[in-house]
Amino acid sequence: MPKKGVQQMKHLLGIEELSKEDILYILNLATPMKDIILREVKKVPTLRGKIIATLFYEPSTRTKNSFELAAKLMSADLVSVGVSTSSVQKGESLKDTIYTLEAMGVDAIVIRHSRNGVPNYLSSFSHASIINAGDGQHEHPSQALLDLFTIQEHKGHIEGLKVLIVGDIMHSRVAKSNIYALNKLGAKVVVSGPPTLIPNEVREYAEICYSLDEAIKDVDVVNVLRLQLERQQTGLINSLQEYHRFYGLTSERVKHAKNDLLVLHPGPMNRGVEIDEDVAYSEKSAINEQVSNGVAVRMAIYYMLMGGKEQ
Amino acid sequence: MILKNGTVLMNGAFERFDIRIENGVISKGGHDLSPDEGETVIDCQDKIISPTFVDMHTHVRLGQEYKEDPQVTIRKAIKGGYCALNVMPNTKPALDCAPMVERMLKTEAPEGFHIFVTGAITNENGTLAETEDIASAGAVAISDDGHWTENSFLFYQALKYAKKHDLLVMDHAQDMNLFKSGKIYEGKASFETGLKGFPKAAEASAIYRDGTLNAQVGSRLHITHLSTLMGLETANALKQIGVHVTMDVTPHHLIFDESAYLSYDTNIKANPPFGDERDRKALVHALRSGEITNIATDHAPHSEPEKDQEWEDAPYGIASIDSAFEVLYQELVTTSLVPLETLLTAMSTNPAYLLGMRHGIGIGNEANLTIIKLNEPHAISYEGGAKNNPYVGKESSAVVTMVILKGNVAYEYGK
Ligand SMILES: [Zn+2]
Repeated sequence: MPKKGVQQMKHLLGIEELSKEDILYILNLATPMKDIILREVKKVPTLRGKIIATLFYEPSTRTKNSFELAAKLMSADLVSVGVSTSSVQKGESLKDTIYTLEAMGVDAIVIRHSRNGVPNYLSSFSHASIINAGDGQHEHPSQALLDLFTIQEHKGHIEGLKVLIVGDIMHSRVAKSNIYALNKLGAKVVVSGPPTLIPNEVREYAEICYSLDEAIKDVDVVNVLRLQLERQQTGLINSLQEYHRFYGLTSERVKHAKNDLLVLHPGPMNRGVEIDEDVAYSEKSAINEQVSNGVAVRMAIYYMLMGGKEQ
Repeated sequence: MILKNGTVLMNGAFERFDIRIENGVISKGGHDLSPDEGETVIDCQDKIISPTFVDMHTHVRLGQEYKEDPQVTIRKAIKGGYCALNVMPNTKPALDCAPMVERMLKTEAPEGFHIFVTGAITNENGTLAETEDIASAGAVAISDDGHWTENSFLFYQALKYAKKHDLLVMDHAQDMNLFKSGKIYEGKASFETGLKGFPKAAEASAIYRDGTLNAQVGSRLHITHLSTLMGLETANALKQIGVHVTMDVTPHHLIFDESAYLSYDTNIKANPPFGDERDRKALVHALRSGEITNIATDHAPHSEPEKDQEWEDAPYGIASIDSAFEVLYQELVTTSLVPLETLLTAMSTNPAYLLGMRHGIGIGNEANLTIIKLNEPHAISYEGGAKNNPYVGKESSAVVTMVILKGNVAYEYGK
C-alpha cells in the first residue's frame, strides 16, 4: 500500500505508521504554534467552525486539558464527553457514541481508551478524524511528539542523540511511541528497567541495559516513565522501595551522567519511586516545559488533520 | 446411483473408478460400471471424490442460538463437505451430564449426518462430571475445551475413566495462569499492538503434564488445536517415549501467524492465539509429515455485535466450517506445501477413526462422499449464520460441488 503523505492524513492513530517526514512536518508546525501560546492574545481563528470532541474512557486530566486547550486556542468548538470509569461502556455503545458525535457534526474525535487498538477500530467506520490520545499499551503518539519537540528545542536536533527510557517498557504506550519516533528520526535508544517489564521484542528498536547506573553514563536524554503502582500486586515488581533503589532517577545517579543531560517525564510523577524531587526540579529537567509543548504539538496535530487543507 | 469417472481417494491415494451406491451404501467399485435401467448417473469426470469430512472440534450453539442456530451450523457444515461434527461441551447448559448428552445427540440432522458428542471433564462445581454416565449416554470423547483442566489430580482420574470407556480425551492444552496474563502470545505482535502477551510455553507445559499423566494411564490423549512449535516438539517427544498422543490443528493456525493481529480484526481473534511464522511453518510441515494427523475447524460462531467491538472485549472464535476445505486447498495445496491426499485424509478418515466412526470409500460403508472440482476459481461466499469467517471474499480455486449423505444428494453447488 502506498504510504499517504501527511497532507492526506485523516487520522492520527500511532507513530508506527508515520514516516520520518511526517514526524518532522508536525514538529516544524509546532514551533509557530508555541509562539501563539507565548503571545499576549493567545488565539487564532484557524479552526473556527470546526468541532472537536474529546472522549476519554480513562481518567487523564493532563492530556485531556492539553487537547482541549489546544482546540480553544485555535477557535474550534469543543464537545467534552466525560465518561466515568465506572460506566466504561461496551462496544455497541462506543460505536453508538461515535455515531452520535458524527450526527452532531463533529470533525475530529480525540479518544483515550484502556483497550488496545480502539482508535484503529473507530477509524474503520468513523467519518470524523480520529486522534489517538492513548490506547491501552499500544501508542500515545501526541506524547511522543511533544517529547521529541522538547528534545529538539534543547538539543537542536534528534538524529545522532542517545536517549534512555527508564521503567515499565512493557506496559507503556509512551515508551512504545517514543521508541518508534526516535528510531525513525535516527536517534539511538537505550531502555532500562526490571527484566520483568522489558519485552524481548524491544531489541529490534533499542539496546537493553538492565543496570541504570551503567545506562545513564553516556546518554543525552533520559525519559523516565511513570510506574503504575499496581504492578506490585501482579508480581512484576517486588516492592516500590526495591524499584527505587535499582531504577529510580536519583541525584546521585544524575551525577554520573553527562553534564548536559536532559530529563523528561510524561507525568504525573511518583516522587521517590521512579524519580526524586530534586532531579525533577533541577535545571536539567524539562518536565514543566513538556506541558506547554504538549499544547503546541496538539495544535500542530489539529492543524495537520483539519486546518491545513483549506488554508 | 453411479458416480462415473471420478478420481477417488481411497486409502490415502487417488485412483480412477466408478462407484455404485445402493440403499445408502457403497455397493460396488470398478471400471466402466454400466447403469441399470432408471439408475441415476452422476458424471464425475475431472472431479475428486473424497470421503466426506469429519469435524472433530465444533462449537454448536445449543442454548445460544443467537450466535448461530445449530441447524444453520449443520447446513454450513454440509456445504463445506462435512458429514459429521463432534460437538464441544461448552453449550448452554453445558454437556456435563447424561441428559444433556442425550439431548445433543437428538439434534435434528439429515440422514447420514452424524452428531458426535464430547462431554465435559469437570462440571461447574469444579469436580469431575459423571464421566461413566456421559459415556453410557453416547459421548465419544471428553474435554474441558475452552479451558484446560487445571486440576492435575482430577485430570488423572478422568484419564482412567476415559480408558475404561475408550473415550477420546480432547485436551485444550494451555496453562491457565499464563493464559490469564495475556491475550495473544508474547512476541512481535504483542509488542506492536499492545495486546498483552503470554508465553508460548503455556501450551507445551500443559501438553507435558497431560502426556506424562497419560504415560501412567494409557488412555487416548488428543491435543486439539495445536498452535506452537514447542507444543509440537513436546508432543513428539512424548510419543517417542511411548505415550499415546494424537494431535489436530485448525485451518487458522495453518494459515495465519501473529502478524494478522496488527489489523485488530476481531474476526481472526481465536484461542489459542497464532504463533509466529516459524510456528505456522512447523504446523504445516507436521501435517505434511503425518505427525499431525487431523484438521479440526474449531468452528466457533459469534454474533455480529459480539465481534463488532473493541478487540480485547470481543469473544475468541472463528467460524469457518463452510469454507475450511476451500481455503486450505488454496493456501496449502496450490502452494505445494501439502499434497491434496494428505489434506483430504486429515479432514475425513483420520478424524473419523479417532471418533470411532466407520468411514471411507469401501464396500459396505455408508455412502458419504464429497465431490470436489479443482480449477474452479471463485470467491468464498458467506453462507448465513455467524459472520466471523475471515475467509469470506477470498479466492479459492477448489469448490465442493456435491455432498452425498447416505446415498442422497444433500448439497449441490449452485443449487
Ligand atoms: Zn479449545
